[in-house]
Amino acid sequence: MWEHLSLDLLAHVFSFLPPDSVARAMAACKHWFDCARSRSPPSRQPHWLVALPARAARGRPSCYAHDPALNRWHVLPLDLFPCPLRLVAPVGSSLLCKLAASSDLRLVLLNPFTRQFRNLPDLTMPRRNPAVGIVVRGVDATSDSSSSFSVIVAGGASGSCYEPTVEMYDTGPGGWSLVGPMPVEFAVRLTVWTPNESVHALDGAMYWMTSARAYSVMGFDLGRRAWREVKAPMADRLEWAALVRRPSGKLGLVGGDGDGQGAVWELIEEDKWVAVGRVPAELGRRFWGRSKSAATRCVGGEEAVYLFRDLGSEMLVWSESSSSQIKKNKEGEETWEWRLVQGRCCMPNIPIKAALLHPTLSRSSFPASL
Amino acid sequence: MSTESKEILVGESSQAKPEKKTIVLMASDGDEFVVDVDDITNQSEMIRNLISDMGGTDGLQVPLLNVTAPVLAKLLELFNVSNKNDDDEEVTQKVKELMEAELNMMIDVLGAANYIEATSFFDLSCKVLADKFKGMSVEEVREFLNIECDFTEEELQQIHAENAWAFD
Repeated sequence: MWEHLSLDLLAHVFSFLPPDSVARAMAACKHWFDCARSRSPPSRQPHWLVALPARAARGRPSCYAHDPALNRWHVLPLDLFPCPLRLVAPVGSSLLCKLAASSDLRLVLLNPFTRQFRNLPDLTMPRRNPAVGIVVRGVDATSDSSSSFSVIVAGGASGSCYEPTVEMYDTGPGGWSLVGPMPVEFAVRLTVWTPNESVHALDGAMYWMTSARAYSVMGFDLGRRAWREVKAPMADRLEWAALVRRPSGKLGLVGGDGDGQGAVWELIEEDKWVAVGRVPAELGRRFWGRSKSAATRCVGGEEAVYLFRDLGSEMLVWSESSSSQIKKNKEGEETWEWRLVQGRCCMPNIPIKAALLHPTLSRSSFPASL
Repeated sequence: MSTESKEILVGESSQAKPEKKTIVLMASDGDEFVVDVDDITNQSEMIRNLISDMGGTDGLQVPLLNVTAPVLAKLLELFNVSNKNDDDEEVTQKVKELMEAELNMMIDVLGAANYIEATSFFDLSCKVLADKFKGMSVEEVREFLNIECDFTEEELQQIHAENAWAFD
């Protein structure tokens, strides 16, 4: 009877399993294999941290995936793709990457778990190091599908000049189209200092942060096609910082100074930030006591914020505490807590760029064409 | 005068303490189960919608064509546990016990819960199952659920090779 359990029901059971368990379950019988391959109901599992090397690395190209429940890193071979890739941003359950060898931006969509990949068409004009942002539509509605999204590309260098325009790729029509001009000053700053991290916030704007000190945030209102600059909180003292999307859908900023302090702010008005979380002093001392805070990397999403240094290094995680879940349901307020996650010294000590996503082994969530 | 006010009083008190409303669920074999409206609508979205579409519960009989009497009895028993407890601990324990004792019955109950759209109970039961085979090897999963492997040796090797990271 188990072989014949309806696909819907079985897929629902699978949605409560971490991807490694699903991968094993797939090998049980053909019916289960087909189910895991073809169905992708929204995952009921916590996000995994998925990372690619940030610079050229020795050994065979790999993708690294961290299981938060077991604090275990998995190594997924990337030999399916012929050239080295750098991670740009997560798109649903897939990764938007760029070709490391190409100076002009060339994008590839990749799901390291299903070993699917697809090249995006070339941009309307060549751009070196532009800012890239993603708008994903309808992810949380019915599935973790990455089939409907837009890519916004702003600035970048072209020849010996900066390219003061914005262009957009949309999976609907497919292909790139020019959105319009942008202030040259913004194009320069996004090209020279962009960390390529973006947040599409509920207010309809795409935000990037330029890494030049003092940090500042550039916002592009997608509806009105207008640019604005938002001052970062504590801008002159931040040693490291990154943008995250808050559970409220608002823009969040995670950052810290050189003295072992770290905090999370939320943008509540035009130019006004409020602190919504601070790294407890004791944890901060332990985490930053051993190395320079400027080496801190950060990735965050609506369910967690991760601070780390390299692959396999100790991580400082801010997420909803498991004990508070019941309380949250009753009182309706979120209770997040900071915790240190032990490092894994068996991993190669290399710099990484990471993203948070729900891994899927379903091939159906990957776009059939781009 | 006095009788009039008495009648009003009776009217009020019957409004404040209405009799428990019930409806009848009919299993596929025709057996009837009388259930409390609040208890069942608390669990089943399908029945909640049905009652609101029918404009009331008077004499309502709901035939459940896919659900046999023993399965419906078990499902209602578990709903009862769920309704009596604020947290899910107790009902999770009962579903676990059912899974260990009568796996096939548990699957039928799961199917029935899905059919009447008892979403939170269905989720909870799926999670119990998922938790059971989370740490299992594929051989253990097959043995636990009595699944016959219909892959060829070659196909199995291929699946292992593609997901080698999950098997180490």
